[in-house]
Amino acid sequence: MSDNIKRRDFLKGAATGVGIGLLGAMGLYSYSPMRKSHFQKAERKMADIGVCKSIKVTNISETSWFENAVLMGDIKGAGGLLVNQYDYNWPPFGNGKGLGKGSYEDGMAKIKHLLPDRLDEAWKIIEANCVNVDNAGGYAALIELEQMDGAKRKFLLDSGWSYKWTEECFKREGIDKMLENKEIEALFFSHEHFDHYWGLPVTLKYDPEITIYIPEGFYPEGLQYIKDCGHKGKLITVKPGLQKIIPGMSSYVFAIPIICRVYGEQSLYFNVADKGLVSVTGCCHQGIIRFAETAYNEIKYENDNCHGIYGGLHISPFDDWDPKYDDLVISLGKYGFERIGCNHCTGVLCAKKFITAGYPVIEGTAQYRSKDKAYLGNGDTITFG
Amino acid sequence: MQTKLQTLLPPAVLEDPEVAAAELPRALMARTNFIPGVRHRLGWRGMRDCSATQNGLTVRVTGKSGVFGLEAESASMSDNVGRAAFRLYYFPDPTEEVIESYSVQAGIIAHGRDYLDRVRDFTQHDDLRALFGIARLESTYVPDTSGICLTLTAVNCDEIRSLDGLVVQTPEGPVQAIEPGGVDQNLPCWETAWPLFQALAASASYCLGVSPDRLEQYTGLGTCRVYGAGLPLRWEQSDTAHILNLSLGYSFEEPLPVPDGDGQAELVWKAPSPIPEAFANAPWWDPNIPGAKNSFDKRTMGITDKPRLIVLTGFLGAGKTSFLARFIENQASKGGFVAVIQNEIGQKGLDGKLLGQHFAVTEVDEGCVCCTLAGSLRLALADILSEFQPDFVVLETTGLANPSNLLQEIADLDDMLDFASVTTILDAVNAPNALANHEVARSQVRLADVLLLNKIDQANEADQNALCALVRELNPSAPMHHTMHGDISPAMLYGVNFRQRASRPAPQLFPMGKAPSHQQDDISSAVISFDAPLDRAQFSHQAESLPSHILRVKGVVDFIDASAPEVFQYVPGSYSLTPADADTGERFLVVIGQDAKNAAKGLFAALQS
Repeated sequence: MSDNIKRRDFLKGAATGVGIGLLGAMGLYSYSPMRKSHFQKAERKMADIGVCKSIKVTNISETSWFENAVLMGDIKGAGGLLVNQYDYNWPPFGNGKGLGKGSYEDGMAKIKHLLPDRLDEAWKIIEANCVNVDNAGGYAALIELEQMDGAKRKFLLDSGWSYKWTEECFKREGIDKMLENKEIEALFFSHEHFDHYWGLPVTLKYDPEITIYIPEGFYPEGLQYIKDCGHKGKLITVKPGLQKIIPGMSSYVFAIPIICRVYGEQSLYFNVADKGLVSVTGCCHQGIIRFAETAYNEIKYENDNCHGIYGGLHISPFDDWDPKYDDLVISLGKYGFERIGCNHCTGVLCAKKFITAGYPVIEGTAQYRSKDKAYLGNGDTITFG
Repeated sequence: MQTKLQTLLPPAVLEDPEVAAAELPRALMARTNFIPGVRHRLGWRGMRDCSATQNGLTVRVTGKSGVFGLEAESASMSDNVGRAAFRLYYFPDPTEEVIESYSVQAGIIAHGRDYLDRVRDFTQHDDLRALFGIARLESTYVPDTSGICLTLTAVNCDEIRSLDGLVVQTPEGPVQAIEPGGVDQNLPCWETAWPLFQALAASASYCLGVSPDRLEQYTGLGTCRVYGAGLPLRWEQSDTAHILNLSLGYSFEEPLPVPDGDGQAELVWKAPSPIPEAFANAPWWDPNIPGAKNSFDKRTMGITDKPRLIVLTGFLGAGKTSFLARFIENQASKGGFVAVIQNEIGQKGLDGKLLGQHFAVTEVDEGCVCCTLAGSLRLALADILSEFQPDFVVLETTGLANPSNLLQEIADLDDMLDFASVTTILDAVNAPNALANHEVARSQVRLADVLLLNKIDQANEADQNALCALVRELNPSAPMHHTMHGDISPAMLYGVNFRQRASRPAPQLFPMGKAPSHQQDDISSAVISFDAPLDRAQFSHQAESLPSHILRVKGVVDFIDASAPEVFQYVPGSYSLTPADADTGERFLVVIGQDAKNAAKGLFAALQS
């Protein structure tokens, strides 16, 4: 182009903030058919999911593993982040052959006859056959929803990892009794990862008939595990998108690839009367921005207000291409959440940054092996509404 | 192949060929982006899903400073073959040369203040979609054979003429940017899209564990476009434009997608024929990326541990490189990943031809990435940590660097790194000479946390003893190790898991008949010890008000409000207190800096009051 130099000069004018613009607004775009072709206008769907009076979340356990270095060493030693998690030889699927040489079938063959009732015996076998058994913890939360008429409904989100640790935590919070009394009407799994999913038998020990919701995308081993653990209730596979559960509560499945050969994450949205949207997540691998944007685009909630959030807040599902932008602290601010309870994979540093930034973080008590008060820790509760 | 495909997408997705084809490109990018070493080798520099809509993502690729956008356009299934088409965009960096080839309007948009924010969610912005499109990508999936195919279609050059010309308002008044009938856009689309396609195909080979077994290339007549005079954008014949189309098949037995119209087959290749010359260097032929598994994007697990920083100093030829090689080898064997930064602080290592990057990678392998800086250490570190997530950062300084200049700079990095150690390597043969003649060499010894007397096999015992005495005079407290070829286990040097703590200085040994020389403004050290636990608030206050000529303070102290002793580490502007792992029973502080004795006295008095 002959006028390159000239063009570059005046374009620079735009960069210096001195307005330059097309005269008469007759640039290429005015003539482009793309102007009218937008096939997915992101109009807000504003689905009505009903409303509830309040939500209380009890953190049964947010500590998925106790030593980061041990976990990272295991994953690297087993061959890295794309390796099938069932091959690690982690509890409960150990065959005694060492790190990275396990398989679901081998491990399950050793313990299947003991599931879900005789977990102590199963754990002894697991301890003898798996690697770094004592590093396993788990993630699980109890959600109590109060309906507009005052009736209470209870749900579990995830069921931990280590049978031993998860059962200890269930007993500490009285979850075992609630399950035995059939007070908990469903167990939601956020995703198939070891630390959220593999403690399933602990829930089934106390209520094998409980309804289970899983996001679409589980692998054959994961689907087999539900059967092998002795589940006798209803299994509901949630397809990507919005699924209404009861008034004021819905789940949303994001079809996303996650490390260790896992796919799909289910998060929970609640609409609390007079308060607004409350989000409860396992890991939020979809990233908090996409999570909040999805709620904004898909769901109608009170006062159009983002009220609260609980759970693991992943910084970003991937490495964003702009390190300056990839800061959860900045991105969370624009949604104006009024109560934040974060833990698990949020990262203590990140939680502390929220506090420094003046966000309404509900701090915890740092008990039962939770590491820091910046986290809403094990045994702590948070109420919305 | 089936198993490998399952690593990308779960059975529920693979059962539906249409969905599988639509999800495949994103799964390829996402899975490979989880592993920093792999990501880097394949040429990805980060990706991000558009947050507002479900059908778009943005991604960066090595060698391009702009951002690619991928938008799902359609997906279909026929004869049990899933097909998905995507529109590919390239949003150039405003300083990139290619911006000249885009339409004037695209150029103006690219200079807008909110350009990058809009690019992140480009699927929401029709002006971006209209002006920055460069190519079409197709992904095809055949469940019966687990075959996949990736196809890129783009014109060699996209020419758009403006019939009415274009006048632009500038601060100097109106400018005729395009004469009536002149060229508005002249964009090398194929060339621009190529790096993305290469990275995507290389990712497919890596994830599937095989290289493509088919390749077909077509060309067809292209068109140019004109607009203006009140008529919408329309096509015209062109003598110079060609449509190019390339398909790569993996276990793909169907006909490869052929472009519409009168395309000519330029190249039809099928394994095991020799790889076509024109594509001999393409990255997708090798599905193996050896030694990249040790890198680990900790953020994917929500782990935010800071990497440990080791400052490695020593005169030229002392043996830093061989020490470093051993260190990396040792870390790699344990699954660790080390980032080595070679730079002279303040020296422009590179001439800024790095496409806006702050560092250049000179090497990546099993256990490490080596980088050279271009400019600010802080900016480069932010990028290196983000891209590689190392467990250790080794800042290797050349033999002439004075670490005291470094300490201030390092102190400002404590939000990103855990300062672990200044490790100084001395050459047993040449060190006496260096220490006698160079203040920098003396500073390196004074400020060391760990000392290595290397090449000890080349010095006789008398010389060794004399050197030890000389070194001890400068630095009474740092552990000293004798080595050959820089060979020492990190556990020996730093303790298991870097838990080794400062030990109380040994009594100073002066060589026969020689008192320590005192040069003005020299760095010296002093030791103070405490019999009783200290008040934490008072201690913190003192730590924050140490004079600027104090470069290091370290040691072990007791506090009234704590049951266990704590390790204190201070560099100017930053300090840390961490519980001591093992109680050696000793309580002391080593103060290093100019006029350390008086500073130590002052500190002692203030803390005892």
